[in-house]
Amino acid sequence: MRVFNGYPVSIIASVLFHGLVLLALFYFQQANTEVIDIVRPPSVKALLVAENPQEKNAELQQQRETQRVQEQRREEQRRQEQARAEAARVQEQQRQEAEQQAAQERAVVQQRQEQERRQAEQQRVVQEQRQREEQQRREAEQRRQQELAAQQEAARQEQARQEQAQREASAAAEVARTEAERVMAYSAIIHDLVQQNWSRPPSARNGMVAVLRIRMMPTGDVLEVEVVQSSGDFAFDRAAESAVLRVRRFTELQGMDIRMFDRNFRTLLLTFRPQDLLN
Amino acid sequence: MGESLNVWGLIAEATTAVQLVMLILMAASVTSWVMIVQRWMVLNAAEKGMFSFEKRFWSGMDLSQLFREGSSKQKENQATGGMENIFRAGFKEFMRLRQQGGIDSEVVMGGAQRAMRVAYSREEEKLEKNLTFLATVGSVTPYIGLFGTVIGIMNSFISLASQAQASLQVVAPGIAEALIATAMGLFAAIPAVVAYNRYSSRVDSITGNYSTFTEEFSSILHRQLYSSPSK
Repeated sequence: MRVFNGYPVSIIASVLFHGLVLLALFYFQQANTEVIDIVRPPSVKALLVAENPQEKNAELQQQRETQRVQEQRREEQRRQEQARAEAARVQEQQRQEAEQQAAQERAVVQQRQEQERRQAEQQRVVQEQRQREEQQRREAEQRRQQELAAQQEAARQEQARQEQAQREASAAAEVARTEAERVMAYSAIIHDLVQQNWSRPPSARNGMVAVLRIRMMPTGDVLEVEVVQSSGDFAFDRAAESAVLRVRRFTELQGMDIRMFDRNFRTLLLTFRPQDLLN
Repeated sequence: MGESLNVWGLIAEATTAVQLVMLILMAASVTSWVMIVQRWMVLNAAEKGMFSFEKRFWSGMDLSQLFREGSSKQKENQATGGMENIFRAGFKEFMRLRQQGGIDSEVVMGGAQRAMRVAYSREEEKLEKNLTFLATVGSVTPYIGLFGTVIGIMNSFISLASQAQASLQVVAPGIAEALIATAMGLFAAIPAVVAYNRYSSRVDSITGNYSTFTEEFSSILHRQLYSSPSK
């Protein structure tokens, strides 16, 4: 007698069931990991944006340079215009003088002598006048040439100055390159310290930017903190300010080359901006 | 795979003990599901056979004909239901004792009842077979899973102690891996417990029907014994 048991069927069913469960788990896991990648909760970080002081200095210098060049050019123009006006005025005066003279002479001749002589006189006067005019013109020409020469000279000088400035700048840049890494390291330290001490207020929003100017001693002590650019949120500004004040002394800056310090860290701009905020 | 922290990576990177526990739990789950399906089929078949036999039995059919039908069924190598087996055991014993002659009707009745009791307990045993396994899986696998979890968490804390900088990233995979063991234990236990409760109540109702039938059948035999003119 065969007793009904149904073991083969049930084994197949069970294995199938577990296989299905595992498969479902596998697919859901994959979907989940994808989802997790997308919706990963952003780590709320309070970041200070690195502000390379050397770059800023170079920028400042360049700005100053261009300003100076512009001013020079403007002055040059003004001088040229003055000279031109001067020349025109002198010419006018001379012509007026000549005319006056001619009129006087003509009157004298009319009064004293006959018409022919007067005519000759007149011709002579005309000739003289022409000569004088010629002379004046020559003088003007000369003056203009001189002017031109001066202008060229100025241009040459300016070029030389520019070249020199460029040379200086490139030399400074080279020095900076050797310094750059150290400066970067120091500013990274400063940023880290400030960041550690910065507790961001809840009113902070993305897109807020507060720029602080810090004045420091060579010992690393913070002398003065000043909000240069407000974020528009008082609490945010205050938090940034108090973060710097809480550090109080950047001991790591001690023992830095004093010239480097003066160049880069005497006054330092720090930019605070909240990043990775959800709202 | 380890970086994306999915279940497969965790299982692959788990410690050997935890992997062993997971293997045991997996095996227990598969086996318990084999039992669940098999019991379900067996109980369904038993219920069906019981109802169809009851119908035939109460249709006023001649009992000896019913017995012969069962015999031919068995000759054809077909399974007979539990209730039919009880009937056949009792009827066979009854007829045998009666045909011997000169036996007291009380003794005939007692023999038939004894044979039916034996058949009943055999059928009950058939129905309840493997149910204890389900009960064991249901009660033990959570503990096995818990054991794996404890071992996994222990390991992850040990590795945490050796780290200079304790961070969540160091502990998290270990704990997640350990928790998988608990999850698997529950996954195996829950269906087993549900099935055990369901099936034991079904077995109860079926065996209840069997014993009722036994009583009824013995009363029929009793009537037949005493109503027929004694020789």
